[in-house]
Amino acid sequence: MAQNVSDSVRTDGIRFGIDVIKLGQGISAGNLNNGLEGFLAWNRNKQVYVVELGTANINKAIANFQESSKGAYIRLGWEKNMMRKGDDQICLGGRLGTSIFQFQAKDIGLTSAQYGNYVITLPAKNAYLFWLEANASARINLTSWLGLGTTIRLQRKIAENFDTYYYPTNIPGYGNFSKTLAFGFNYYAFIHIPFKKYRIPPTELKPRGSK
Amino acid sequence: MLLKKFVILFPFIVLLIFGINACESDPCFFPKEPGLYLQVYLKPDTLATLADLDTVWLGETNNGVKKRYVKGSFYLPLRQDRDSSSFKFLFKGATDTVILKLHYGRKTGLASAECGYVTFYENLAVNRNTFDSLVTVQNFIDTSYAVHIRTFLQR
Repeated sequence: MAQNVSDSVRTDGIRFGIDVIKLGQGISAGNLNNGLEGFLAWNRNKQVYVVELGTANINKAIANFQESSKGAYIRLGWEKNMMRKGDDQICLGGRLGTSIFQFQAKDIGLTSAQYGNYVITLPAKNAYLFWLEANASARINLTSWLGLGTTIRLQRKIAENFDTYYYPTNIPGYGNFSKTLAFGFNYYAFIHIPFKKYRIPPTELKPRGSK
Repeated sequence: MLLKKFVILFPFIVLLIFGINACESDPCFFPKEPGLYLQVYLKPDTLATLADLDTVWLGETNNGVKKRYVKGSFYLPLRQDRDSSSFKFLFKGATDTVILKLHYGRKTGLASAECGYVTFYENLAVNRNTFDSLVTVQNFIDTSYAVHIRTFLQR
């Protein structure tokens, strides 16, 4: 059977998009300042270079206190596209992430059966966190220029400047700090701009294992 | 085609899983009010129990402290709004009260995301003591059940 021409080409280009779940959360809360995230990926042949940028303004009631974390984060990484043909991608790769933010624990309710209860607020503190990620990504083109994609991440923190007893539980771009290994995911809508289209050599299209 | 279905359905699958997990909250395993753990030896080799202790008074208010005996020691709550706490003890069979006044530094810190913030105490020092003898075993008080002060009292 003749090879479909569109299936035997590969495209170099860029994809850029926005996390639609974070966007939807912001719209439903009526405040887009709660956090947005976007990505830019440039692929050359099977190599994909990725930058992800985001902001977050987290206010959360936890146990006996109210925590706020506000800041920005960036992830830089590389992926390898495992698909042999077409514009859709299944990628495996890694990222280095860093988050620079300010956090504060407010309205801390300290209880004492003997002496009564107290409410205190601790001062805001500037902090940073570096982490490494292993990623699996899938990106599909719905049309020639519009697509959807997802990234699943397994994160491990590598450096931070927190105090032993005063640290945030939620970190912009990372998530739950108390977990040494943290899972995360994104769901993007993106625009695809192809730069260069080229035919894949027939040797690359042969089924795996055939001579 | 399978890849397209996976990517389109992915957020629904993940939100379903995360939604189920969000209903579960982890329990807190630490004490929410860290305090001093005091061991009292009524004779050199007899550890006092709850039955030996008649009353514990908060030194400055004369309010009674609920007696708690935890893992071989008396639990004494410390003031979280001041750098000192005082206690008066009355032991059964004794006529005099025993006084213990402590000084310390306070630090509000996160015990865990499940337990929240608690007060830790550091540089624990004994200002006044009418036990016959006293040894400070550990001068930092956190969420553990470690013994901090060991005392000896002749009856």
